Amino acid sequence: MPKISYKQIELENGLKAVLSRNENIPSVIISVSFKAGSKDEPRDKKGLAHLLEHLMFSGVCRDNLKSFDEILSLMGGESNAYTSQDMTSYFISIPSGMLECAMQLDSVRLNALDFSDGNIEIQKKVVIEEKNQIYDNVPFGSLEFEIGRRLFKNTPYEIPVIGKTESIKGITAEDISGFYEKFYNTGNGVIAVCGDIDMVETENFLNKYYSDIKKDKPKNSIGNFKIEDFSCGKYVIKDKINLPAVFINFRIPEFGTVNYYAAKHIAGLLTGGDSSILNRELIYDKNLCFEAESSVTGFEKAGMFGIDAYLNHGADCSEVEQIITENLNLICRGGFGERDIEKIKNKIELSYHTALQTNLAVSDNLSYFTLFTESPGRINYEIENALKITRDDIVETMREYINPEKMLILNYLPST
Amino acid sequence: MKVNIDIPKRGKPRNIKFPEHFEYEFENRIKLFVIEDKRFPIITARFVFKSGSAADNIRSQGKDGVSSLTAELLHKGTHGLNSNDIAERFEYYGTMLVSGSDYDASYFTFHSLEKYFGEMFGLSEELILDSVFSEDEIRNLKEIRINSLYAQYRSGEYLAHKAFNNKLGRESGYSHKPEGCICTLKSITRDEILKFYSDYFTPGNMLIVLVGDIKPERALKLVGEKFSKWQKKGINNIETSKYRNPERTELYSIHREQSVQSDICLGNAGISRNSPEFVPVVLLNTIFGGNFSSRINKNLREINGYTYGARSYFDCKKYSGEFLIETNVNIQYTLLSVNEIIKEMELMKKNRVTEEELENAKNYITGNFPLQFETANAVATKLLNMELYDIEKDFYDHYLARIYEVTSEEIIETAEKYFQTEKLIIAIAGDSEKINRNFEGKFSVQKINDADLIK
Repeated sequence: MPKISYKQIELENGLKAVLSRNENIPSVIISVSFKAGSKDEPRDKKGLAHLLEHLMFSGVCRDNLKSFDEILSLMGGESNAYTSQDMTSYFISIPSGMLECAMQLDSVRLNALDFSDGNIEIQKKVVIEEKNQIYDNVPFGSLEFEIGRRLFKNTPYEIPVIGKTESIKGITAEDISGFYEKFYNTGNGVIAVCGDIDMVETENFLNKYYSDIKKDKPKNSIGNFKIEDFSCGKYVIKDKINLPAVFINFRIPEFGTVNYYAAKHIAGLLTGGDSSILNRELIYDKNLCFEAESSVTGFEKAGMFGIDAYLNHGADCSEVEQIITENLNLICRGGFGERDIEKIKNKIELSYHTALQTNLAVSDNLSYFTLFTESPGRINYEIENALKITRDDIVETMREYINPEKMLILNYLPST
Repeated sequence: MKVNIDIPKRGKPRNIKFPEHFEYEFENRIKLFVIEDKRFPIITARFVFKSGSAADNIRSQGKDGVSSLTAELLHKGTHGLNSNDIAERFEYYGTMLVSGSDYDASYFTFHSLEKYFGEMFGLSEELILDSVFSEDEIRNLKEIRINSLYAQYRSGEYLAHKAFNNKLGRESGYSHKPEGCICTLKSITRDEILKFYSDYFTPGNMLIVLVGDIKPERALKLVGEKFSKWQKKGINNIETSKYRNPERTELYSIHREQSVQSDICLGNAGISRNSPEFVPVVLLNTIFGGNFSSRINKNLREINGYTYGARSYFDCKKYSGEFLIETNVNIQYTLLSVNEIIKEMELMKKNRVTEEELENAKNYITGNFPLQFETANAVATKLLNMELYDIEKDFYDHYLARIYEVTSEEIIETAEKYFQTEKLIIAIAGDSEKINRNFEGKFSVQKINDADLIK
């Protein structure tokens, strides 16, 4: 397997950094990430981590250029960011010759937030429109909320990253700076620089520009919680949709566990392509659905397995549920062949290589593995974790977690 | 906080040579391209036919979707294999397979591990040359497609774009989306699919692009063995299809009850991809709405907070193109947002952009240009587009120098030509009960209730 080469260093203030050189194109990705996501927010301030991410783009100006992005684009660069349940990441893409300028700008913005009320109010409006666009104004938009409040009830993973409209409105400047002060520090952060770089020079730039990030210990905001605490059962939700859908979800262990990788195999068995068990039966043999897919989500402290089935006109939810249940029971009993496992491993191998082709993907992976696992080097052997899964691991994971007795079923039905 | 950073002047950018690749034309006119990338043990094969949904209605009207059905059916059965066998054969090796149509091309693509590539390539030959298009599989595929479209008809973004496309495209081949619509799909017969296949899925109309861990010699040998005996057949040129602006602005309102946002699609006829104006258009669009810091996003998002984002595009197709602005705004700002967008279009025509704004846009385009060649598949897309849209071979070799030469006068001229603010198509999916009355007297408003009526 091809390896990604990298060098891990520690800056003078203790901040971790990972450098990876790749001269494929004359371009570099700088990514700054903090172990601070929506699960680290106070219970009544949901949406805070993500609102802070929005505010990180408006604190700097240069002559007539009024925002981070405008200055960056003068350098030929572009930026983006995301907030997840567990982390927040800021990316810059820049031509190699502009690396120093971009780092200089980036370091200023990390310390120069515009927490003025006017700015916060505008970004709150923007975030609420983001929520409208992605959740409230689209078919099945409430799904993540409906799953979260049952499957992750009373845990920090209960509410999706975006937060609730009311709680977003209630966030104050103090809340934001409190969160920033607590988590945006050396113990919680990592910088990855990937692409067409000179290693020595980049190391110098990193020390020169990022050494004033506040030195502090890592913050652990939540403890572990038990996997049993969730409501299973069946619920009906009315939505502005034309055709019904069935969503079945399970709690599984967190990212990196054997069960997590086994769940990826199970997803492949169930819905990985036209020849998979559920696609074959639901879509092609019985014409009940036009689409079926399953997904595995691994957070730092919990995980989730989901099966989504979108029904054809006239098809019945309970029939679809029954077929899914029968097939889950079949896998629980070990009703699949060695060939099925080989097939999934081939698929995992292909997607592994496909996923690491850009500097952006490499930097994101290096950052994630630095923050949440033993080493950034995991980028090179993460695939082994998936490939060593055995038939027994699959059956054990099914019996323990992805078992029809532990299902949360949501039926979405058309409201009109 | 004010930053004092010395940003080095970029000056005239160095041109970037188009990445190396291998090219060969077979006796039967199949063109082969190979882009070798040894860094990853994977290979992508892209089989492309230079006709897409713009050709759907050439033989008879009301056949929206026939090209994409034909392309998708390629992996639904041959004389020797049924659709289940085919899926099982590809998927066992982990191979990812997709086929379908775009406006100007139909494609059959697979991504495979290098170690299984030979087998996958052989299987593809069988599918492309020996598909049976059985009645059962046609029925199955139509049912999936019709249900999936029916579900999509509740998405405001989908509906707004469908209406926009349809009204600007008028009677041209670009007036419908490649997936077709429910009533046209129902009417398509097996004979029409077979006809489409024999008209357009021909060697003279075919490009094969192999990307990844493969040497040109191996590619040449494989394609030669599998496809060079395919009987030579001519290229099928289709009638030119043009978008056309209306005489005066038309606003279409697609009703979505209790919608909290309005999905807006607004614009004019644009340019074809090989138009000589492509370069100034790229600059115009970058300044106006092409990225995060461009004018309409700054206005609607950063200053007013009406939306999560607003962007504009020149969507350039082979014979014509559309210029459109897409945004999703809070319902109470629907009229205000439309007014602001039109105001920004007017400003582009009225005032010259400052040298600073122009330099900023040029630097942005130049700096981000290499990312368009980061993966071998991205290079393949560029190569394919050059073939599909008749772009001159050395286009990208001179692209940055041309970008650098564009002046603020050219930006104004281009805006004057393509920002026809009196002749817009505006499509809005939202709560018509609440928004339509605001537009009355300002635009001619037509209400659409059923998604299938947009045709």
